[in-house]
Amino acid sequence: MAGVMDQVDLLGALLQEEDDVEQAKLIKAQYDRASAAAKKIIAGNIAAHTEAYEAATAELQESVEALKAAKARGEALADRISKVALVVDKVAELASKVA
Amino acid sequence: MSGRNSLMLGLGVFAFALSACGLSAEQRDAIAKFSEASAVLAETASDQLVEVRNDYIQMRTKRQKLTQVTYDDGFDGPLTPANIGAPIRATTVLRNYGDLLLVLATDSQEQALRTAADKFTNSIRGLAADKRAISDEQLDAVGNAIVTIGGYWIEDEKADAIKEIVPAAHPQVARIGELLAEDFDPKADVIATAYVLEISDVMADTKIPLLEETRQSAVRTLAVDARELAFQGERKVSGVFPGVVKAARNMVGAHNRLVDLLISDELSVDGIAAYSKSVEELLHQLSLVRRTD
Repeated sequence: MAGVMDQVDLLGALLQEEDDVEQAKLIKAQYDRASAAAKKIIAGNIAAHTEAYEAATAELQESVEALKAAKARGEALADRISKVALVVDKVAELASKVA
Repeated sequence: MSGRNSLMLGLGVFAFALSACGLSAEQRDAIAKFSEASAVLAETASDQLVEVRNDYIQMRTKRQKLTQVTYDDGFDGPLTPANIGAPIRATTVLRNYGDLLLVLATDSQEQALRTAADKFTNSIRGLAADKRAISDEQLDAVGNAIVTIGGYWIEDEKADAIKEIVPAAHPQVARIGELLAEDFDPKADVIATAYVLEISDVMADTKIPLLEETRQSAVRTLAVDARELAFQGERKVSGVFPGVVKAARNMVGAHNRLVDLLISDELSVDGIAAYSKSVEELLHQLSLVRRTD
């Protein structure tokens, strides 16, 4: 790919420096061919990147779900600990009534 | 050793074991740094990707007006919603991952535990003094012990989850970071290169209309407008894109450091001091409770 993009860069620079209209048109035709070839390669690379993103994102989403589950477990544990305290609280309340 | 001393020693070992399994100050700091890096990257990359696509469509629109060219691949070329959406979704998931990690590492359940403990101790306090064999000071200690031991227990559970999830997620985090770095590198032949190529096409298409003196002024004005857009794009490529590449690599570096710290489970001097203090406090609280035996 570096070859095609180098060609695009080179022809693009030559075109910008050219002052003769007819000569510029000739360079422009060459430039357009090189640019079209480069575009095809880049489009293929971008499509491949999209697939790679989707695969990595789906896998990372699993880690996000695992973190959510761990957070929920922490909250549930706090709830359980709180309930233990509340059960003791209830026993104490009943004990006071008996007393 | 008396039964009481054995119990205190056992509780001390138990408390230290719990505290040693939590996250160290350095590990928490590494999580905070990664979370910040992922948030900055997600925001910057998403904004830039949307801008790149919009610029691309604008440049093609101006070229079409100037040269009546038809685009087989549409005005957005390879920068379709699907191709731009994939990295944006990736950065969003990355940010969610960083945010959740930070919440899990820093959000203690202390308030919930404190509320339950207070409710419990207040109800005991409500009993007539002669019906309870525990002083107010000792009752406070019981409440604090519920919060402290419960807190350690929860921290331990969460730390275990983080130590399992983060190293397993590293290949995906590194992959997304590298894909983003490539997408903003004009030499990597993906999104930034497509953008640079479009800029180059604008410069090429506007050259001849500007060179030919016979062209109408409206055409020449259109060419100048298109070039201005291309120059703005060039400034973005040289001024903004390198920062996104750096942010992507920094994010991967921050995650890598976090994985290293979690795997090695190093305890810093500060971390050990903090744990020792926590254990000391816990033992003090428990000793107050035990005095009522």
